Amino acid sequence: MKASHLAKVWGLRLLLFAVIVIAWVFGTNVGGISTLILPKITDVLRACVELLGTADIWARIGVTVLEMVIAFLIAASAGLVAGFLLSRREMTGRVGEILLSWGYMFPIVLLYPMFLLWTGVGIESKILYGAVNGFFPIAYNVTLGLRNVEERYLKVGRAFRASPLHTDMVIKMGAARPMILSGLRLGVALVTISVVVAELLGSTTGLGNALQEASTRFNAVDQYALTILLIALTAVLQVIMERALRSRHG
Amino acid sequence: MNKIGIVDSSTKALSVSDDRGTSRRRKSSSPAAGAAPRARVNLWVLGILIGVAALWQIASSTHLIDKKFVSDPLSILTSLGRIFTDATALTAIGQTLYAVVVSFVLGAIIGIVLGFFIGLNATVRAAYFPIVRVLMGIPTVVFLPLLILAFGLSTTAGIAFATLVSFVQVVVNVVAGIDLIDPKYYRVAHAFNASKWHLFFHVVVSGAAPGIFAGLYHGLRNSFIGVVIAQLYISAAGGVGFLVYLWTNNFQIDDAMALILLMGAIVIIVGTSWKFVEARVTSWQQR
Amino acid sequence: MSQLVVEDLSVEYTSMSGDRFTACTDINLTIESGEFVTIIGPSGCGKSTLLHCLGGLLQPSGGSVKLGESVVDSPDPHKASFVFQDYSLFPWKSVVDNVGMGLKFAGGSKKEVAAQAREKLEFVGLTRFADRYPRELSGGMQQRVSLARALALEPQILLMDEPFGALDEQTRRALGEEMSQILRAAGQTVVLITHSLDEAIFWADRIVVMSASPGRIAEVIEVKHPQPRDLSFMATEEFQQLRVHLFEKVEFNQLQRGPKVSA
Repeated sequence: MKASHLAKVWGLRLLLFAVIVIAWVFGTNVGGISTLILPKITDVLRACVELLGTADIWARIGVTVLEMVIAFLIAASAGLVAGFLLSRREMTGRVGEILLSWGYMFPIVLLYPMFLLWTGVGIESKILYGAVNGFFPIAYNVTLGLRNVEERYLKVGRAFRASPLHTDMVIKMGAARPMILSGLRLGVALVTISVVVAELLGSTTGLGNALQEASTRFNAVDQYALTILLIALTAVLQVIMERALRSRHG
Repeated sequence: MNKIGIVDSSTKALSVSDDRGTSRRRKSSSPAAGAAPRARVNLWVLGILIGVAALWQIASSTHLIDKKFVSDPLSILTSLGRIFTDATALTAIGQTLYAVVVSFVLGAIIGIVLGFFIGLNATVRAAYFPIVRVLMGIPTVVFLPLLILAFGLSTTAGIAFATLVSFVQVVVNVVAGIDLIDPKYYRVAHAFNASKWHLFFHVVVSGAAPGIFAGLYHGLRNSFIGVVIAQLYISAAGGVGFLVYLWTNNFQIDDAMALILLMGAIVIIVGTSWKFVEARVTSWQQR
Repeated sequence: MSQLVVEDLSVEYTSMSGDRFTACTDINLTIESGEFVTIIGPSGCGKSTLLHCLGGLLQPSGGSVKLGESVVDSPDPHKASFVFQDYSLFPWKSVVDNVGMGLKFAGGSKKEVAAQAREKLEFVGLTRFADRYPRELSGGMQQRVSLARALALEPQILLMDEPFGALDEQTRRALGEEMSQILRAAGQTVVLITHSLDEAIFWADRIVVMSASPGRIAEVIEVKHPQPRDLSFMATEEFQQLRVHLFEKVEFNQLQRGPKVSA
C-alpha cells in the first residue's frame, strides 16, 4: 500500500465528502430547496451539539443502549444454547438448520404491532423484537459451525482419546469459533438495527423515539441532528462489538 | 442458506474466503451419519410444524392461552379464506408487491452498476467499499423520516426507502463476489489475450455470479422488509404493513395473523426456491 | 515395551450399495521394541487401514492386534500415538498448546501439561515457536509439532501415516534425516507408512511391502545398514539395489496376488 495509493484513496473519499457538503450547502443556500426539507448544514450541526448538551438526550441514549444490550444478551445466550443443543445430533441439526433459516427469512417486522399489543409500548417490546431478530442468525451459525467441524480434527480427538466434554469444548467449539463469532457479529448488527426500527415504529422513550417525535413535529433540523446521533450511536456500539468479537486466529 | 452460514455480505466475504484457503472437504461431525436422507429431514420439518400448530390449537381451545391475543390455527385458516376474497386485502397485497418489485429492480440496477464500478477498480474499491459496508451496519431506517420530508407521506417515500436498503445489499454482495474470483482466471484470460469485454463477460460476470445471486436475494428480501417498514410507519402508504397494523390495533388478531403467516410463507417459499436455483446455476463453483 | 503382534488381521467394508470390499487380509506381523518398520505399497493396498488398526482407531473385521497381553481395540495414546499426513494441528490453539493436547485430554494439570509440552517442543527443536500459531509455521515445522504432540505421551509405539506426504522433496529428506536420528536416539519404536521408496528404505530396519486388491503383505525386507543413518546411505550400492527391488515390487505392480507371508 504505497503512499500514492493511500493518497488516492483518501482523495476519493474527500471528493465524495466534498460533493455531499457542497450539494447540501448549494441546495439550501442557492438551490432553493426549502429548509423545511433540507435544513442548513450549520443549523444541523449546531442542533447536534445542543442536543448533546441536554440531559434528556443522554437519558434517551441510555434507554436505547439498554434495550440493545439486553436484547443482544438474550439473543446471544439463547442462540448459543439452541445451536449447541441442536448440533449434537444429525437429525436435530439438519432440521434445526432449516427451521432457523426460515426464521431468519421470516419478516418479523410484521409481528411488531403484535409485540406492542402483547407487551406494551415500553422497552419490553423493543427488547423482545431485537432479541427475536438477533436469535435466528446466531443460532443458525452456531448450529452450522458445530456440525461442520472438519473430520480430521475429530480424528485427532479420537486418536488422543478426548472425552466427550473435551471434544465439545476444546475441539468443536474451537473449530466452530470463526463461524460462531461471525454469527454474533451479525447478531449485533441486527439487534441494533431492529431496536431502532422498533423505537421508530412505536415507543415512548429512547433516541429513536426522539427522532420519531421530531418527525411528527415537522422539526427538520432536529430530525437531521437526531439521525446523525443515531447513526453515530449504532456505529460506536458496533465497532466496540466488532473489536470484542474479532476472530484472532483462523 | 448455503453451507457458509448466514451471511449478510460483509460476513460472507470473510467466511467464504476462509473457506477458499483450505481446500479440505468439510464433513459432518458424525462420519457415518451423512446418510440421513433428505426426505426424512423434510418429514421431520413438516411434523414439527404440524405439531406446533396442534399444540397451539389445543392450548387455545383449553384456554391455556388467550385466543384474543394470539388467535389459533383454525381461526387463522378461516381468516385466510376470507382474505383471498377481501378486496381491501387483495389491493393491499397488490400494492405491496408493486412497491417491492419497483424498489427491487431499481435497487438491483443501481447496486449492480455501482457494485461493478467499485469492485473492478482497486483504488475506488479501497476508497468507497468501507463506506458502503458501514452503510450496511447502520439502521437505515433512520433515513425514512428524512425521505418522508423529501417525498411526503406517500408510497414514493416507501419505495425510495426500500430501494436504499436494497441496493446497499446488492453492492456489497457484488463486490464480495468479484473479490472471490480466483486471480488465476485473470491470468489465464490474459495469457490467452482476451479482450476487455471478453474478460468482463466470461470471467468477471460468471465468476461473480454467486455474489450477484446472493446480492439479488438479499436485495429482494430487504426490499420487502423496507416496503413493510415504510407501510408500518406511513399509514397513507397502505399495503400489507398498514393492514397488519390496523387489524392488530383493532384486535382483529385472526385476520392479522393470517396475513402475517401468508406473507411469511410467501417469503420463505421464494427464498428457498431462490437458494435452490442459485445452487443449480452456480453448481460449477467448487465450494 | 512389549511386542505388538498382529494375527490374521483382515478389514472388510460394506459399501452403501451393499458390496463387500476387502481393504486388507491375512496380515501377520510382529513389531519388536525399538524397531523401525516402514510399510510401502501401491494405492489401495490397505496400508493406512492397517496402521489405523494398529493404533486402535479402527476395529478389524477378523483377527487381532495385541500389545503384550492386551488386545488393542480402542485408541490409547500411551500405547500407540499417531502422526497424520495433514498434521491436523488445531489452528485455534498455539503451538505449545497443540503439543500438550494429548496430555490435556489425558487429564493433566495445566502446569504439568505446559512443562511437558515445552520439553517435547525442545526435543524437536522448535522452542522458539512455542507461542506462535500453526499457520505461521511452514509445513515441515508443523509436522514437527505434530510429532512432538504424539511423543508427549511417551507412547510405546509411534504410528506415522505418510507424515511427509505434503512436503516437497528437499524438506522431506532433510526433515527425514533429522527425525530418524532423533527418534533413533530416543529408542522409539516406529511404524511408518510412506509412498516414497527412498523413505521406506532410509528409515527402516524392516520394510513391509504390501500388494493391492486385496491388501496383503507381499514381502518383508530387512535393511541391515547400521543405524543411525545419514543421507550418505542413499548413495551406497546397498541402497540402490534395494531401491530397484522395491521399484519392481511396488511400482511395476508385479503383485496382483502376493503369496501369504508372515513377518
